[in-house]
Amino acid sequence: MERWLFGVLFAVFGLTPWPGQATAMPAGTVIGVSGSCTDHGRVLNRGDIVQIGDTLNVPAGGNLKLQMADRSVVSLAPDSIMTVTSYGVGGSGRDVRLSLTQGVLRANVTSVGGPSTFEVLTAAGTASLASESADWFVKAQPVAVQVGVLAGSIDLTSAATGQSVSIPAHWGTRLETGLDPVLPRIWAQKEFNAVTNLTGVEH
Amino acid sequence: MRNKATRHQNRRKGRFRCCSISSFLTLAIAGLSPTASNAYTAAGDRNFPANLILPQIAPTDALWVDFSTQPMTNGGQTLLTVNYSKLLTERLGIQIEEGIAWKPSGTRAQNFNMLLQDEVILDQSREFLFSVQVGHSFGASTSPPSPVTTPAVTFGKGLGDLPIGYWRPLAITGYAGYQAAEGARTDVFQAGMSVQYSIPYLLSKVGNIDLPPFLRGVTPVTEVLFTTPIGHAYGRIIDTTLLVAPGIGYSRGRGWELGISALIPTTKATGTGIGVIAQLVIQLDYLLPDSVVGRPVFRPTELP
Repeated sequence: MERWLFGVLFAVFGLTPWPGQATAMPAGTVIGVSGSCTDHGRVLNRGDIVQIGDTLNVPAGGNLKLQMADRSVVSLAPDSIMTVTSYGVGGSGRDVRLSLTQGVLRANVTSVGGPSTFEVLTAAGTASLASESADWFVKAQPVAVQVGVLAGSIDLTSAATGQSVSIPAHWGTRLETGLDPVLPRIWAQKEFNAVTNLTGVEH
Repeated sequence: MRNKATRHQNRRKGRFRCCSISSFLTLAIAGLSPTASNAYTAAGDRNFPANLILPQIAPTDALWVDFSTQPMTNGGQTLLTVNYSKLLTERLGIQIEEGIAWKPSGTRAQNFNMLLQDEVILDQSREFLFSVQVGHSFGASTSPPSPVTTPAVTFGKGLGDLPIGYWRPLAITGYAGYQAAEGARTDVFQAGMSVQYSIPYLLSKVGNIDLPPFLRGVTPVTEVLFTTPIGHAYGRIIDTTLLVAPGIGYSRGRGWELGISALIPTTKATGTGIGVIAQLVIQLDYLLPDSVVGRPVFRPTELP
């Protein structure tokens, strides 16, 4: 009887999501993949579900494209590592945090009702959505991060100094670890085309 | 097209000796001088702040207004100038300039100027850019009209790619042009340069230094503009001018930029006392990035 009661309690509490728990929650679906992209060692295929807490690894020569729960599309370039830290979407708005350890990410973020937070965290700083929707790139390098914005507006904030800049459409900038963000400048179309090519997926 | 600098010079001289060749030359120079043309220009991680007396070093989508006053031999001269710069392609742009001049002799419109400028070299990693331009001043504000055409070159070079530590925020810009006058007027050679130390660059590329918020956007700049007549003088006495303009530019990368400089004449033909110039730049490409005024008319193909 005691063993049975313990088993029931374990089952109930073991399956109940704890506040703040970020695992085993669907965040998106793989809609494009090339190369041996993995999720914690599991090779990803088209149609696979990506969960909150998953770390996605795109090898050299690979690409990965995800359709997220809020209909946003996130694409990863070769040699990229990204963790879905949180992906909350609901009637109360959106609260998203992606951690980009290395590589290039393109986020085509849709508009949602209610308050919206969509952040990409890197070692140097955080790039966050400053408009209702946006189409933007984040390139995480060992000692810096670059952000380019095709549409919408993005804020880039230094993790070390707290200083931030706002980047409008067609502009971009760079942030080196431990310093303020560089003042934004217009990106040439060829600069955007370069990162667009990197994050494109051959189906 | 003239530059701001030219305008300043012209105005001053005109006041001094309205009937002298110097005055005439000054006016011509003013028409050609680089106007505070500067909108925000960048090469790699280097943002060059707007110049106040030299021409802008590259075309942009921007609107800027200059206000200046300068003691002259015949009294003070105050100028209000409006510039609009529009990109046709990513590298090629046009600029128009018009303004009002208040002088002891009365208030009148400044010469209308146009400029075509092409950024022919942009080396992001070396923080270097080089542009060629041709400007035309219609000279309608003078009697008889005294149009001038000025082919010129401009450049900007940041020192951030050099291993020089806290000197890396330094940058220089330069300008050289030949003002070809129409009719019985003397041609003029113009040249100028600026030296600047960018605090935003220091904080974003060199070191994390705790500075008050205002200082974080300041760039101390000193500009120098030199003009001298060349060729036939047509019996007139033509003076060389040299204007020095130490000041600051302020920008936090939010779509506008403010600049203010002293105007220090070093020759009598340049001015008789210290003046001041202030400039507000509105970056249309930042504030209205998706509008027709904020983007080049002809753009390269965008990938999906």
